[in-house]
Amino acid sequence: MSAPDLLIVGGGAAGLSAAIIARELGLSVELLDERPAFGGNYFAGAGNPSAGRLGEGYAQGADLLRKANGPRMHNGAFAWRIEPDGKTYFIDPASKVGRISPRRLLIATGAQERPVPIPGALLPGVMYAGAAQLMLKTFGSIPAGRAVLVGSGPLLLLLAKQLLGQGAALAAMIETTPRAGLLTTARSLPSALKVPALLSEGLSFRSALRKSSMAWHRQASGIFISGRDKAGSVTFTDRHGRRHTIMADLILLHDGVIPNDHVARQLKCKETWNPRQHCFNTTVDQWGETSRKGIFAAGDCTGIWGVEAARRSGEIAAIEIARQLGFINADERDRRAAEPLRQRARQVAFRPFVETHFPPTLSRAEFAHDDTVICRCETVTAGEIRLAIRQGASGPDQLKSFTRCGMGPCQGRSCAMAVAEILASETGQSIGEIGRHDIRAPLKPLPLGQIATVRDAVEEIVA
Amino acid sequence: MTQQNKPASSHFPLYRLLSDAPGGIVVDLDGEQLAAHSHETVASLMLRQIDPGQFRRSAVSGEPRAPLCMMGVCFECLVEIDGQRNEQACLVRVRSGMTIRRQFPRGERQ
Ligand code: FES
Repeated sequence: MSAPDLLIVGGGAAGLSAAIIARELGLSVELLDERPAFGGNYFAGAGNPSAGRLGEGYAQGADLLRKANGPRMHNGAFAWRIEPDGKTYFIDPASKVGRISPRRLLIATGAQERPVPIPGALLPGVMYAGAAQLMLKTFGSIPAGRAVLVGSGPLLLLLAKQLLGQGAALAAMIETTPRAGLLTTARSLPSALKVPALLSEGLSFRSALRKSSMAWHRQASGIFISGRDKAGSVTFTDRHGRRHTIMADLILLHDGVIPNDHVARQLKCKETWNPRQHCFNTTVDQWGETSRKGIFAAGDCTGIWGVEAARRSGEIAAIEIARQLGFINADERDRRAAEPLRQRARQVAFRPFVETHFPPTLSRAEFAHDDTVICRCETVTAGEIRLAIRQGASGPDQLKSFTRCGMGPCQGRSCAMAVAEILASETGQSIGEIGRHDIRAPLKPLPLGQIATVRDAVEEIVA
Repeated sequence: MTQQNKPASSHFPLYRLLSDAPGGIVVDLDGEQLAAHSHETVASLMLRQIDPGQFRRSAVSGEPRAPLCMMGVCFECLVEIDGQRNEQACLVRVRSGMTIRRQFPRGERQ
């Protein structure tokens, strides 16, 4: 068992930035990332032969990867159990269990797509927009047939621009973004203007897309996907009330992203409901320390603040951890953290603009039909969840035992938000009060029994 | 109600590679030898080689399912890799000589 000063879980923007600074300050660092390559979602593929195709962000990503490169950086290593003192059990690509007892732990598990439970979303041929972006960035692959983009958010616009630029056949963009309330946008504009680069980038997507031949429908609603063994078409109502059906081979859904916060939840770190982001945020102080002393979290796994904020948060956490462990004093910490703190504040100021412009709509499960599947793993419908609530299931944990919703291999990564939304609308409580079901180790199914090291670890935990 | 375009084609991988450089890695997918690039994952390879309707079937409902997120979250990409069942195909890189078996609950092949 190794005992580094700092263990980082997650090798994306925040985790890599933290690793670089922590090593610079003299800490011994170990990093676990479940993916086969570092970079997270934003810098995915930055170390690949196909990199460079997507422009300037790539040079940055390649640079980050190069600087973070070092010993004890593990790919394909999944942290499946973390104890309150930071002791971490992980499983490596050869299915061997390892243990790390760090002096400090940093959770940097990034964001995931906001799950979109709409009719037909289970069909093969339906994917998240983020998946298509990973296919392009990581593997240099684009949709082979006709693709349709459905939903809302900056990523959807960016992806359309990237795919069109690579010659993909996009049949249509079906945007569900509501007409921006002039007042709310006006209210968030002053803070957005502090980062005009981000703003003009967003506007340039729209003008590039308008020049393409792709059909573009706005303020669409009533969306469902049809097909027998795979998706074949998407149907929706446009803003003039007309129904359309568009044939497609690949349907890419997106309704923003939410924190990938399973690790923090397994540790029962305190969290709060963020109504503007419509997701839970792990509670952290300005340095990134969670409600559990010595356990830090940085980047989008704490709340959706974007890639630049994630990098700064990783650095800030590393600097404070160095102070706690006596590598630098408080003055030195404040001196080093000043610039990243300032830069992060600028990024955070931009978020209200994004949040008011792209509120989640497509994903909202309180409006789901009774026969729409909410839990993909166990195939539990909205109607079954509502029935269980009427029969007395009063919270997410009870619903899980009543309906099996959240009991499958994904452990509720796809359904926890939707369950909370349905509970809120059925009971009148707020989502913040309702919360989500408890997350227990192992954080994903392990090949139990087959592998001796797994058996030993489980015996050790039980004992 | 408007209808655009012709019906979607019946048998068709969802993705294609931008470059046509041949891959240097050979894996076995249900008895078929496929060439892959070294940075590809099992899921990315399958998505550009096979029809999405034939990726796997759910052990619970028997319905066809295919990768959704490509980032380790949805668990819709489960396959058997070198004898180990229920591996997340989107998190595992291809290796020469790797054996990949699709998972169908009743042993059926499409
Ligand atoms: S495609 Fe979602 S976990 Fe692999």
